[in-house]
Amino acid sequence: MKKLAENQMVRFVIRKLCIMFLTVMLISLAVFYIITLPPGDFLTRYIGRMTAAGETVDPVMIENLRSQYALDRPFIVQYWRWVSNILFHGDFGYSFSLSMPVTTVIRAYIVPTMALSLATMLFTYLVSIPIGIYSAVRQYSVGDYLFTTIGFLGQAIPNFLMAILLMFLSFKLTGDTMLGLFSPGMQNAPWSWAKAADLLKHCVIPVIVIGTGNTCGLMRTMRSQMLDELSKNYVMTGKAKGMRAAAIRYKYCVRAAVNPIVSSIGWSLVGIFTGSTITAIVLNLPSMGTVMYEALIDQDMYLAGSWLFLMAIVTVIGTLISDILLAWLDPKARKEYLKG
Amino acid sequence: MKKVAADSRSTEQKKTDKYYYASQWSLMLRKFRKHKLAMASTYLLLFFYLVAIFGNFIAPQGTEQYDGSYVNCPPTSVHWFHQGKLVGPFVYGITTTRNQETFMLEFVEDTEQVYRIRFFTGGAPEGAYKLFGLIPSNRHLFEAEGDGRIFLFGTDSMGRDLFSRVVLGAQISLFIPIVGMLLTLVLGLIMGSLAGYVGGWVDTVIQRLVEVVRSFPQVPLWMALSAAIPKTLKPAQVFMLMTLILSLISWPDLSRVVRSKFISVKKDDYIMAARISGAPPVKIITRHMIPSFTSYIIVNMTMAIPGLIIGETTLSFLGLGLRSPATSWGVLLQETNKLETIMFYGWRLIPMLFVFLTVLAFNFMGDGLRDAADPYK
Amino acid sequence: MLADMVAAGTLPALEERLPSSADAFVDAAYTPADETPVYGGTMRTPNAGMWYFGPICEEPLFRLLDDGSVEANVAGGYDLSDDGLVYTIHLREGMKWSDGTPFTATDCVYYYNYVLVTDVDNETGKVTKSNTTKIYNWYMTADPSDGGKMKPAQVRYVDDVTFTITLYSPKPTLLQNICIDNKWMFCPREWYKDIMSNDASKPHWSGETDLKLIGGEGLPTVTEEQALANAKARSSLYTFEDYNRLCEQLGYRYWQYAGRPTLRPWNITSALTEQTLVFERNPYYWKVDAQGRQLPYVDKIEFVTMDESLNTQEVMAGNLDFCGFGGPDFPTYKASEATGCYSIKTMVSPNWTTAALQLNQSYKDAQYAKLFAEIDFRHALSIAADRSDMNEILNNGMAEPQQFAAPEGTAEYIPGAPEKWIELDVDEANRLLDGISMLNSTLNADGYRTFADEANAGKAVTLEVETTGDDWSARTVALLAQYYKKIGIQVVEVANTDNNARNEKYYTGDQAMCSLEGGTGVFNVILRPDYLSARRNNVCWLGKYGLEHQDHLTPEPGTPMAEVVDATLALNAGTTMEELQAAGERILQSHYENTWAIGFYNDSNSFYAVNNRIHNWREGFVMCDELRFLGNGRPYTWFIQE
Repeated sequence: MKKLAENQMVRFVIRKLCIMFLTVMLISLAVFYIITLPPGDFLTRYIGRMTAAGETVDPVMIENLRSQYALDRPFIVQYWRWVSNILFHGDFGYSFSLSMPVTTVIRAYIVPTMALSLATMLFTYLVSIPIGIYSAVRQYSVGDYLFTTIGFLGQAIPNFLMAILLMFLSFKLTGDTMLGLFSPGMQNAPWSWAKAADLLKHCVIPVIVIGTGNTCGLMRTMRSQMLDELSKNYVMTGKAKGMRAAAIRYKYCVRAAVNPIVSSIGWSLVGIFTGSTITAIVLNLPSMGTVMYEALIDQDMYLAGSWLFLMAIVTVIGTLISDILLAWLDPKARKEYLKG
Repeated sequence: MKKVAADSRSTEQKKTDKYYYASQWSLMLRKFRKHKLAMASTYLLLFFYLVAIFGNFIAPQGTEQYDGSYVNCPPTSVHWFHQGKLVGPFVYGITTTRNQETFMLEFVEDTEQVYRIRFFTGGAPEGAYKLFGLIPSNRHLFEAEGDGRIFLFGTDSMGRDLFSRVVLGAQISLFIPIVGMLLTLVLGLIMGSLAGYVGGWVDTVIQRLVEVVRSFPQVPLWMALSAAIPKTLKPAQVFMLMTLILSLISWPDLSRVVRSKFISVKKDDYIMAARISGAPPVKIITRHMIPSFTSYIIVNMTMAIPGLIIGETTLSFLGLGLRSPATSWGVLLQETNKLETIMFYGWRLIPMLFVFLTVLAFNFMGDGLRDAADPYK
Repeated sequence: MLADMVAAGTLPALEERLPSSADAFVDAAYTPADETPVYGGTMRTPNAGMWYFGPICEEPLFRLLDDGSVEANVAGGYDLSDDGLVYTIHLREGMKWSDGTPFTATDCVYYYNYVLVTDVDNETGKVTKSNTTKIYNWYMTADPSDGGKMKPAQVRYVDDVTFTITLYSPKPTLLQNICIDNKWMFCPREWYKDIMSNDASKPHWSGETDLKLIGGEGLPTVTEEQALANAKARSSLYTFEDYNRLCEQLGYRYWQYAGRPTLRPWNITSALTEQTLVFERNPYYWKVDAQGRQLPYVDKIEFVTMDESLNTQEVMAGNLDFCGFGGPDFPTYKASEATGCYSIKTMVSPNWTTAALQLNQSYKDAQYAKLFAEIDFRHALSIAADRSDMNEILNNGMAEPQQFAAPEGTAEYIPGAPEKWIELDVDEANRLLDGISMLNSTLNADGYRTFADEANAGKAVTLEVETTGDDWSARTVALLAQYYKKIGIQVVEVANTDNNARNEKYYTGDQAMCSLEGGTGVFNVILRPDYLSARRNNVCWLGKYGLEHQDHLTPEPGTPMAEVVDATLALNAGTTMEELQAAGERILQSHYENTWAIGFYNDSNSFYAVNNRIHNWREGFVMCDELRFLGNGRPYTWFIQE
């Protein structure tokens, strides 16, 4: 019996993987289409850069470059060039504005971006789940109202303004604006406890800013889920049978209530990943968001496209993880999934 | 005897009867009314929307009245008593001097000059506007008489009245999200109902599409699409495109809800009955299926509006949305995006308060609607 | 820092690193006068791109001084033959690249003959290939013995510290041109020889057979593919998509790449992807101060990439050592100067005005081109603008209203030009417009003037002003719209944030109708007439009359525009200083008479916030491209003292 279930689970995952691949390919097509939408191409930018620097440009050379990069070919040819290089050579193309392979750029930024995202995610869950439970258990208490208000506050202030306000506050209080991930002297210093402390200090604002948006939503979900569970009959039964209230709450209610949140991990990861874009610009974090923004403005199509594409893959993987987690956590969901 | 009994039914009993005979909608209304915060929010939003509709009349200035003598002027205080005597609402004259060291303008109230605030006045020709874009008028709710200037929220870096800009900006910031929401609604309903009702390969295709769109990271996608908006478009067109972009990204959530509702309702007896009696699918969908979960859709859409409002401000902040002199709350927020604004010109953060209140109000209203949507609980 | 390295044996002693004592560059003029400089420390400044951090560290062969004279910099001096054809350039004895290898004349002749000009079509004399993507027109002179054919100069090795530049006909401004365009007329040959393509079996384009004289002795044959592979193998930073990119980046924009030896005071040591670019001092730097101490004083410069809106607070928090800003931001900086850790330095700008409204004389819509050619139209636009109001709103009242013209005190000054048509007079403007026959005398329902001719009847006169889309432009256009409404002219902004798309349009002939360009003017009309003459193509008022484009328009003879083109041709062909000056004056006169661009107020408002720990920053030096922006302040003489 158990074996059968495992088999089904494997089949389920494989089927999901196939669909995932299809989705990813569709996404890549859409991504490429979107990045080629704006008028002009990176050669336009190139000419502009040259002339802005007081240089002259040979139109013949530009035409040669255009055909060299297949920019004069139909969209689908360009797309195939790009996507086949990714598929068969792991080559994401070339960043024109930075004059280096896209892979190099992404490698340089992926670690800080991931680290920041994961830190924020951790913050989000560590804060929102306990508060959600508290608010549900103590519904309509002062604490509940307080957290609800804070939650809505977080949702109602745009991230960038919140970042600016916190930065100003920090400037007023400490005399430093806490921009970037390190203080000026620390940036290139060897790793030490002082540097780690400096990093932590600089993470406070970004984590709060990026975190609150998601935290508030999760807090609300957790609260309402928990309220639902608490009003169910099994809680009454448990109480009648003499179980301690706390035991019922934490052993059964929380487990059930946390399901929808688990199932949204995939989405929220992406939300955090990309939600950080604007905050990163405002707070000058070495995140891919800033690079992405520049790349879009510069029409650096392969860089912008590859990053969008990677983001989409993260989402798709996130969804898969959510589905698997849910199937694993929730017997009801599992049954539904396995049926097809 | 019987008659008496009927009449003597207690008022209590009547109430209960009314409750049991009431329609679903009136029950919902009843429950919604109990949610104090949601009610307050609804009234607040109603007020905001009314102000926006009559914006040109309420705002004492247009969005393009620049004034070099009142750059970054703090909010004018409205006084009632002059030298101990009641004169009604009035403002003092403002003397402007430029600090020769910092080159900042400094404003001092000149308590010798008294300008009374006049209501429903027909002002100067530059105050002319068209109410609702149709009725030409230059009557304004209030104005200071003579040379007096009244800036309730102060002025911005070009000497424009911030109060007027907030009021007129609301016309865009409050209505465009509604348009966006409606677009989302239409898209989401069509896609969701197709997927849910027809099923089969149509469902599969739409589901894939939903997955593709949802897998797109939102903010970078906005950025990419906004980068594609031609730079030479007029503000109104830019805003329509922005809205379109926002709604093109947000329909999948709704369509998923709609689809799952369709699937669960499809097997219900009353739908089966309708089908057997030969009702065409469009009729079944619009007459029978959609009404069965209208309340859910309303809740969903209400909760979607704050996202659209914040989305607009974010795009404007990135410089990808509207540009001054076109005015929206996003544009106003974008202008505060500098340290000096917070340090020296705190009043320029006032627009933030309105974004904040609106988003909050929509959230609370949505909360109330959600509770009310299931009135039998 | 360096003393420790010498002690540890990783660096030779100072005497071995500097040029021979007779030949070292002693920068007495910029040596701190009353202070004892302190060595060490790191300066931080925002990274505004390679054209910001480049000039700060730049060392040109010759350098242009504020008064337009030429100073030998990397070179030690020069001689000019009597016929004006042969320049003999002397280098400094014992000078070294930043990696310790000797710098000789071979590095200069190699650069010219193998990097700058790689191949020439001997039939036409045209340069067909370059390893830097850049060929300078002024190296081409007419050969009188060959029917006036334009040919590139010949550059030859004489000995390790001497080389010659030979022209076919005199070019009085050659050295100034080198200062402005070909500052780096040298490169480390040994470092480049494997990564620049070269076909050793092919005769050299110059016909020279003694390879020693052109720096080609012992050069290996390298194909483009090999060059790419060699570069990639040397460092992962040098991975390029194709050979053209390699040339452009390593051949021309080399200062962005760590590892490339230079003669600069500081060299980059970080990858370009880093958020903070680090430049470290060159231990072999060849300049000393008046007391014979090796420069620079500061160990490192960090260029931090950040959004411009963050500058203010970072300066106030003391996280930036120097940072530029304009008039609109002045109050913010000034108000916190007393309590902050920085002082404000005022810079001198050669720009004539901050922004000028330019009307495209060759606009594709013939109606508008005709209207713009009417001098009364430009006159009306000029006097309808409320310059003092603009100054108050846009510039905190700090500037002076001014027409687009050289200010008093400059060589280009024409009496009366800065004050021409700057008095606000809306009635007069309306009267002038009423007199233009191609416009109807009555206004349409919206209050705008309309075209009179049948084809365009009823079309309102609408100026579409293309801008860079920044805040300041938006605000300027908004004000202009308000002023010009009063004379019945509609103004709309076409915000084109895409700098480059804007430029591209000039090359494709799809030029903007009007533009609002910031910071225009010239340092010297003879040396760089780019925005005033008909030389370039990306200047809005000039439109398609710019000679640079192959399909440029030819103006009707006798028109003011024909005069501009004529004067430009004379400037290009001049072989004596007198001829050049005469042509320059014609260009200036044409601007005075025609007001091709409408200026609003002067541009005396360029500032730097400099942290108080930075010493020896000279007040008020001239900031412009020709003088290499901040490089003109000689950053290698700044020092840090807390």
